Amino acid sequence: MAKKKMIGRSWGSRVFSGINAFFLILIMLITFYPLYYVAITSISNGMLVMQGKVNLYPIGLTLDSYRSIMSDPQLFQSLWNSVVYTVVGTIINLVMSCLRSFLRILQNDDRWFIPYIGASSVLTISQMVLAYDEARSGLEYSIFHQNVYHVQQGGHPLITRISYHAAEETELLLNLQKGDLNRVKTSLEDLLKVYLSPEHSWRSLRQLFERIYRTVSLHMSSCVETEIPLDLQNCNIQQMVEVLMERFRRLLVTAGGPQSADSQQISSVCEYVKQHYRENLSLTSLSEAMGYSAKYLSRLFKENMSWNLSDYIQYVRIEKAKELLVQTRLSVEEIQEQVGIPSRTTFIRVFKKFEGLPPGQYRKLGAMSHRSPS
Amino acid sequence: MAKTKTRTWRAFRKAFARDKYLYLMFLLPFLFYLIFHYMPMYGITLAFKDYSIKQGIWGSDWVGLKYIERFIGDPYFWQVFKNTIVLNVYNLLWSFPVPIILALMLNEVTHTKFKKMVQTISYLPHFLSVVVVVGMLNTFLSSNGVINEFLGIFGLGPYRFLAEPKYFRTVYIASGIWQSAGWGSIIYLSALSAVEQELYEAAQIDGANRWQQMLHVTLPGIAPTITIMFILETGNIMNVSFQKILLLMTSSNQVISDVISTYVYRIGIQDANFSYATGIGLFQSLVALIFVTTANFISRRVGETSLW
Repeated sequence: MAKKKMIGRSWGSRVFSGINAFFLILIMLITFYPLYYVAITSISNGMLVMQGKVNLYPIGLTLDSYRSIMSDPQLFQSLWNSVVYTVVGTIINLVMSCLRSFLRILQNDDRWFIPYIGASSVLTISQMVLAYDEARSGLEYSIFHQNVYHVQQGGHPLITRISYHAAEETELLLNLQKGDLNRVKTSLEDLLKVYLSPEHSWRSLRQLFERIYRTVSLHMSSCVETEIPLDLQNCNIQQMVEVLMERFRRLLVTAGGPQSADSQQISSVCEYVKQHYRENLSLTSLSEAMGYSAKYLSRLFKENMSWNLSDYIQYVRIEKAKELLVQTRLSVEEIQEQVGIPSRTTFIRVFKKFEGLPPGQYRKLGAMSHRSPS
Repeated sequence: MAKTKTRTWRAFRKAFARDKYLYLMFLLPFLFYLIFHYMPMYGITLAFKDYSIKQGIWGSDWVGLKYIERFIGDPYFWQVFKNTIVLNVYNLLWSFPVPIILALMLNEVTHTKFKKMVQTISYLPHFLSVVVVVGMLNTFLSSNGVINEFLGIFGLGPYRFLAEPKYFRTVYIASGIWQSAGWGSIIYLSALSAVEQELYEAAQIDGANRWQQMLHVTLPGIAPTITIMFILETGNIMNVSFQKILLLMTSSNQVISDVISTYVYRIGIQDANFSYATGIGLFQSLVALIFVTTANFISRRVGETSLW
């Protein structure tokens, strides 16, 4: 609506609207008249209709035609048939969708976790997810401290978003760059001590670890990382630390060792992306700037990084956008422009893809966690 | 060689075990396509066999290209083929732009209630069944129907719209537009809502009037949608609204109105000449496939949007 107000009601604009409205009314009449005609003939005298006398309003009102339809038993038979088809079809569809949702919840943990569904009053799928998340968080907690597998986790609201400060990340990174793995391990365990309690969701803790690894590995090796993204789905928390440390150790080796020609090329590409993410980067423009063919560049990147180049570019942009969201008061549109994503819808979609929630909400959550540091 | 083979096999098995529920979920759509889309394709073999009900599809004798040769040599088949193509090309030409124009016009309306009313009314005919529409056509187009009376005011007619072959295509296409234009405009309206408002502001600052804004902002904004819809429509070039044609067809306009699908129906179901009909059906699918691939190819080369 805002747009329309800004259009001055100039003479030309008014003429335009007038002509437009005129044609639309015409279209409306043409579309509607036949339907209207059917309606009026259905309540008019059949003889007069046959003679073409009924045109604009019903003549000789009668309900004979409706009466004859209603007395036909076949009508109700076929009506009943369509109702049956619709109802049965919808039920099948519903059952299938529910099954699919169940499967999605249980997909990863069927090996060592037997969920007892129905023990408490769980009403919706999302509540069930939450209950499961709670149970598993509690389970993790109990493993860490004692060998009790009985979990009682009622009453606490689960904290599903774990904030993680840039300072902590920098410290971790510095230690890692110095090669001081023990310090890294201590800071990871410190992190765990803060967050390891039944109130903190196990799932978000896992995601936090994955995020740490992702950012750290990108910084460390300026993207020479050749591994698949870290997947902690099936680890418990102690294993999580170990897996992460093992990855860091390998990271040190690759980053410290002699760099191959490939990795140098890739790191220069990454540098370029980091400097130019505001511009309209595409595979073609990148390859022109770097002096490789587009095909070569795409393959090189994909093989060495196991990321698509376009994904990487978006990743860099979203990381920057996240910084801006939390640290500045710029509007979402301004941020979106600053990070070089031309369309608002694209920005929101991509942001959701990486972060799981839209930018506005991200900012709100960020602000909340800053106000009340836990 | 053998080693890598076992390794990939093992990797596959591992991935399979990990995601077994996902595969289980995939099973249903897989079966759906297998049973309802791929299994019937087996019936295509009928085109190359002398089908007899006693021996079944599998047991009938192979006859090679006998039936294909027969319909390719049949002048009536080519008449029907031409009817199909001409009807659809005209149909595409006339009815493809209408929803776009309607959507553009609706987009320019500022009065929300008026816009909603036009939209609602233009969707209505979509919900009528073809039989009802043809029934209405019969009433309206008869020699003392509303349209002939209206034309009579200007001293024209009466025209025999339903009997004379030369009016058949007009009637078919116009009624199609009447029925589907409003519904078809929905997809363009949603594409229009994605066009960025900043572009309009920029255009206004550059001094564009509303007509120019429509030409240079709105149209390019929805061009990708238009292209995709066009490719999809081209895939339908061999399909017609079979029911409508069958209902509108009279012995007097059959020269023009007989199309491949009605011909196949007559030959295959009514005259029980299954192999001949299957051969023609196969040919029809082949032509449609060529059309849609070509359209897709051209659009990928010329513009940047394509279906695959």
